Amino acid sequence: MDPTTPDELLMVRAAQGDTSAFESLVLRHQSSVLSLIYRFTGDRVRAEDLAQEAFLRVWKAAKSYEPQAKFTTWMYRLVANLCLNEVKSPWRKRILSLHWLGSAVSQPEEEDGGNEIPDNAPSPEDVLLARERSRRVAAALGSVPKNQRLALILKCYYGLSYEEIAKVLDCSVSAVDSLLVRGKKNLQKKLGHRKN
Amino acid sequence: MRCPKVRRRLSAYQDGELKPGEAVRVEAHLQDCPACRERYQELDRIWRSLGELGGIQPSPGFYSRLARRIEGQQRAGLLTRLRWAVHPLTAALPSPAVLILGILVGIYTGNLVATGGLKPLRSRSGSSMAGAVTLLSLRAFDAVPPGTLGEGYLRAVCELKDGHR
Repeated sequence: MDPTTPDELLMVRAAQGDTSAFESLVLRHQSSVLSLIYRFTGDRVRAEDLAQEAFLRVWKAAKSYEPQAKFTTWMYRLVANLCLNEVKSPWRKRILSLHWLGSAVSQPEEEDGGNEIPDNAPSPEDVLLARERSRRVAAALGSVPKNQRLALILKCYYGLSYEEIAKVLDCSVSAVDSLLVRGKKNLQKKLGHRKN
Repeated sequence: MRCPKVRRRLSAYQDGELKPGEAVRVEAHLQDCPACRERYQELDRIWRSLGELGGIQPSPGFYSRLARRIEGQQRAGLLTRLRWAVHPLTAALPSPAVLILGILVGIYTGNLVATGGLKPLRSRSGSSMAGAVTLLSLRAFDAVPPGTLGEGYLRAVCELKDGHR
């Protein structure tokens, strides 16, 4: 499949039963969807399950999909709903909070996956420090209320505009502004760079 | 622009969401105000520290697992459609187990009504007719069924009236 084919066209073909178009769509977006869910839940295994569920829903919705908005905005909305529903049950909430408190935030895998160690490879100390910083950020992010967390993730890692985040979270642009202001304040408290 | 207003707009300024005129005013204020500048730098540090949390790659076979799930769902959907296409009537009917259970419950409760679960009313003269038991038992469906509070209330009222006479 041509890598320049727009997502919207791939969705139209997927709706007609073209599995290779759907496969292209999944391969194109699997990392971003998976990383979004992982940053939201802090749980790699759960993130894979939810990402599978998200793409299953994309497949099911392909026939009714109308390319009015950008495909990614539509897809992130679907993923956001999945994430928000994921933490609705009190039982699940408790499990997640325990997970965030724990130190078991799994580390990202190397994309190339090679076994060779390059000359400029980081030392084990650097790796440990990076892991610790990552764990600290993950724990801080996990402590932020879910809507604020989603807004922060969509802004920081995906560079979505306030308008796009508003579409994903189904709220107004000023609500997104407010979510981000409060989210950043909460992060500041947790990451403790500021003394007051 | 005053400090409180600038501080409220720092997040949007950082995200590049201010209108050009407002962004210029915030920028000018930040150059002149060390306290607000420090706040902005702190916000910037926090934002950059989020970059420490990298993304992840899917495990091998992510798509093939997904494809298997889709195939499974398609098969299940096809079977359901087939069932409706071949037997639209039987598909709409309740399962045989539910039907049998309904019949058994009906037999049991009917038997209960007919054989003493609900006692027949005595006639006014005080004599009862054994042959009328079954028919009288069916009075369970009357407006005031025998053996109920309603019947008790009516009897009490009748007796009260008789007493007055």
